[in-house]
Amino acid sequence: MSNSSLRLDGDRGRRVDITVDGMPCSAFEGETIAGALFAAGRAHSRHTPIRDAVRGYYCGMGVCWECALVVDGRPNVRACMTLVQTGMRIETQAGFGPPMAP
Amino acid sequence: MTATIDIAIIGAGPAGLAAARQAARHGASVLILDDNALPGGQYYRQAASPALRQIARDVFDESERAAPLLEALRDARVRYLPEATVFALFPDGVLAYVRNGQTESVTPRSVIVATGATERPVPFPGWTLPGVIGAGAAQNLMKSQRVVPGCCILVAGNGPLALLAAANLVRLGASVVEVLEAAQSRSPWRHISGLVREPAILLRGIGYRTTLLRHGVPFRDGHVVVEALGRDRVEAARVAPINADGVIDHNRARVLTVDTVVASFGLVPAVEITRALGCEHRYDAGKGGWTPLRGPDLQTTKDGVYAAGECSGAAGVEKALLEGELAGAAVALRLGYDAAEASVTMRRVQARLARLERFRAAIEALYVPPSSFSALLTDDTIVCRCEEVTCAEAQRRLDDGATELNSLKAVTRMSMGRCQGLNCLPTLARLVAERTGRPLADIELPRPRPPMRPVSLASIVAEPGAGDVESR
Ligand code: FES
Repeated sequence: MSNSSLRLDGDRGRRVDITVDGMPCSAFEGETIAGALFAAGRAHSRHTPIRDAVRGYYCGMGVCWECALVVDGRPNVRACMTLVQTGMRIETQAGFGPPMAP
Repeated sequence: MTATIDIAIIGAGPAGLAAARQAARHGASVLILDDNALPGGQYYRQAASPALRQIARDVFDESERAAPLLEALRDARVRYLPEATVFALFPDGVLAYVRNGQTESVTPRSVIVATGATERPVPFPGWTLPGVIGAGAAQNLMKSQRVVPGCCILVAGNGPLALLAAANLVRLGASVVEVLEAAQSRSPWRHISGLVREPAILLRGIGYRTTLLRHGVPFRDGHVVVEALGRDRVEAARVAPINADGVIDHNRARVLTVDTVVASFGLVPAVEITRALGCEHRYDAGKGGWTPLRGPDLQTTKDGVYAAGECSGAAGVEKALLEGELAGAAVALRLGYDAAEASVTMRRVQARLARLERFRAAIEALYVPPSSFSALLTDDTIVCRCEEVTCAEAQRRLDDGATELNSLKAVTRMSMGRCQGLNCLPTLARLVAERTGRPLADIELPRPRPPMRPVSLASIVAEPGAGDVESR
């Protein structure tokens, strides 16, 4: 592990560029959104609907839904179950997230 | 699509894969349905790209170790469907699942449930802060992402999984500040006759402790994390010793500067499916809670429905593999395949499982938790993450007379959120038990009804690719 990064050292393969709340962010093929966010030092995904409390990745296996965020305008995407893809727009989810287009 | 098949196996973890391999070996046709994108479950969690798989292979060689099991998926008699979420098994034996946004179904002659286990939720103040993660979540970051969760990590909880996660973090070079085990220090010698039944597993455990020692990471028995502090992420954690009488000594609390808390309090068997099927269950604290009653062939009380692996009691990968093998042979035998061979397998595996059980009992005795983790709860502690219900609110409802899980659920919406109660039901059952003075075994859990997982409504009405309307 290099101290600049939480990613373990080694060739990670193809780079995948995404944006997180509008800021460019680098990830690698095969990483989940949760993996890429944690590697960037970011643990939160959303603010809760009732108390506006900040939450994030907790179970890591698709059970708790705490890692839900907005991906390319779609709310309730679980960061721990979704692989990054080039050009993905990832946003912190506020409450239930933006309304879905019909 | 409706198809007929000998055996449907729910879950492609160690137990499910072992069951598939064994059943196919005897000649049965098998369909494996699994939630995840890749086979292996949590234990053999694989990285999703070949490059990632090469990183830290000296620590995580899951792909290699799982290889013989994954062989099973290449058997012509085995069909494997990843990203398939089972949401109902109807009384007529039709098993319905969602895949790629579409509903499909099969009518298997037998079902093997191998759904594994989930992290035991133990709420404490601040446990909802980002940066507080389960041991499984930490393992998955390491195994599938080759990422460590933070720069400065506290590992705290109860049971061997906390130790395992801590050792892995340290081996990968992460900075682990302390490891806290809630159980009081105890002499392993008293349980040595059970422990030596499984020398290989015992040695592995000793290896984890040695790793921590070598890296100078303090391991403290009889200590617990009492609060995670921070604004948008964990910035510190308050930890305290537990007295010999099981009381947390807040006067001797210390604050550690950390950005991550790995909280691990053991596992709860994932029994939503066996419960929804109407299998009889029994409460056994040593097994992690409610588990399906099973015969020596692992058949539940529902004819043709078997349960194997952690969903019938969390006890590690060896037990899961063996139970998978046993269930696979038992179902093959039941369906009339390869009778002589299948019975030989069954007898061999049953003997091996008996030995493992003595080991498991010794480990359980070594990790007896303090009387209750309820002392960690404060009024403001969230007990239901999805519906954001605090402990004080739950207690008020209990005061008002909602002293059954079902009534508590109705007035607070607790356990009706997206996690389907997995993150709160064990806590709620504990609150009800403590309030009413009844043993946990008397607290009826609400019976799960289909859909057992939040599947999109649109996919149930089978409109391919349509949206994310969640049905609850
Ligand atoms: S972290 Fe629990 S669902 Fe993603």
